Amino acid sequence: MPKLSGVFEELQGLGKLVPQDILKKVEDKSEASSLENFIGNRLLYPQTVSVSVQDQKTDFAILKAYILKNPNFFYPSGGKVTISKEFFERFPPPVKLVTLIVRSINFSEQALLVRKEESGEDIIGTFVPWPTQEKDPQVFLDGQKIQLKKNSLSKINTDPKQYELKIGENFIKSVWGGEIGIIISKKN
Amino acid sequence: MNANIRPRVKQNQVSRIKRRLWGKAQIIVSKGQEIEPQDIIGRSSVSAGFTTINIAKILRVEPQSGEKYLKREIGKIIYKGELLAFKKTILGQKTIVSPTDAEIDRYDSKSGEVWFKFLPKETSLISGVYGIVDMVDKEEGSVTIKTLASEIYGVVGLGKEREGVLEIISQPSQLVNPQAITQNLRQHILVLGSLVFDENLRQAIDVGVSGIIAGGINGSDFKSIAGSLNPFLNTEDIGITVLATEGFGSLPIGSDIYEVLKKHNERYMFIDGSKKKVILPEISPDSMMVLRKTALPQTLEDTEPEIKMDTIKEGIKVRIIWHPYMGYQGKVLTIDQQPTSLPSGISTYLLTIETANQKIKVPYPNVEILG
Repeated sequence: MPKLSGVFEELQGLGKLVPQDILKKVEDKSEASSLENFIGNRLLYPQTVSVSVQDQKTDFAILKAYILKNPNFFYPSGGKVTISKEFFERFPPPVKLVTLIVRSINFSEQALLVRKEESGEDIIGTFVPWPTQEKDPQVFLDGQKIQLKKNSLSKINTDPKQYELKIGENFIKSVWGGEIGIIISKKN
Repeated sequence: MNANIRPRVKQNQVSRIKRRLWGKAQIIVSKGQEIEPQDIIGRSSVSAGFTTINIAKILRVEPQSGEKYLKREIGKIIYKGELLAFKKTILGQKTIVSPTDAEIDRYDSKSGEVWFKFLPKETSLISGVYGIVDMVDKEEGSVTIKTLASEIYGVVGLGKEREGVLEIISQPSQLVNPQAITQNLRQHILVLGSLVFDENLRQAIDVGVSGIIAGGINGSDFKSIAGSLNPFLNTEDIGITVLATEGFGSLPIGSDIYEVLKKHNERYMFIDGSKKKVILPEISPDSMMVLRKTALPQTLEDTEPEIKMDTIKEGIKVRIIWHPYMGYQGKVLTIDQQPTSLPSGISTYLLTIETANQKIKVPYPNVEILG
């Protein structure tokens, strides 16, 4: 049987990340050294899973640094962010993983959020980058007024179906709901 | 529920080893010949390089006129202390003697330097193993010998194939002080415990150690040599061969590997960082009986053994490849039938493993089966 692998094996060029890419401030040389050992062992043993909270935090930080350098990994072409089932299992909970991905990519247009399984793809939501220069425009989802967080990501829980999203006077678009819901970014 | 089986130790393998002569080589064995460890398999003469003296500066003459003061011709041999150059002056004379035994290679009239080529040294190469000569390459100056050996495979390696006497200088989980790497360990292959780090690596290179085996190497040190943390890249040689048996960071050498190394302590062995491999020849005349009966395939290029996958079963031996307990080895006692949510949030099945000192619970993706 071919060998067991893991999601880290899919991250081409992972070995080229430096500690500064991953930790905001790496002052302590021993911290940088531990991090490089961590990444090296992930490359050697990509199938392994984090047991501790700290290890999982490091894994998320590594993934974020990787996406910043390789935004096409989850978003190869416009319109769709595709995340495999294996990534969801390795980086729970799903909302945290999706939020990390959408915060790390520079979107110019809205994107479907899709879970990829062996049997096919399921739409799990939509990401909408802020579409207007209007100050405090009103937001409606299928005619219902929605209150968004200021200067942040807002997640709206939805059923897995299509909705009409209206932001301000000029933005009216069809969006999909699902397990993750609709994520609207208010960041400028 | 599956895990990888990574070959780490293969005992009593019929292996090929290559012994090389440097410089002008004369191979004195032939294909099919049976040889013993003390047999000479070839001789070579190797020049140790060049040295120079600026006679124009010493004699205070222009570089272009320095050659006329030489008292030995270009291309001739001169021995240490013999007269090389002489000049009469108003106050007396100036003499220059040869600093070494050498051939006078040339005179550089631009710099005023005399170039000496050190006289070649004759060396004999002994077999070091019981074996049968498999191939002789006179152009390369090498002899490939079929021999019975134990093979050990690590996970991270640096450097080309080298050889030397194995010297274990620490326990598998100890850190070794660079001061412990002394001049008498020159050309040895050292077992350095849980970590080879920058200071003891530098000390080993300074002393002239041939190779190092340790449980781990720091990622930062590996990256400074290899250019990347990717352990699967081929790297340039740095003058020493290094093999990490477990991974990155300080990790105890696995007991499966350490026990084999102990058996071969103070014996001749071969290490190859690019193949992440160590060959420990069996020093027993009885090995010849096995060798006579065993034919190896024609292809000489050996590759790293393949990592395969197998089902985890109760009673099998495993090694733990992630924290906590990374580097531990033990036996699987039970396999949970229900998944557990780890503190990290990941849901997975746990194994109960019995190590030398305790019973521990480990997620099944964090083990490799010991083959």
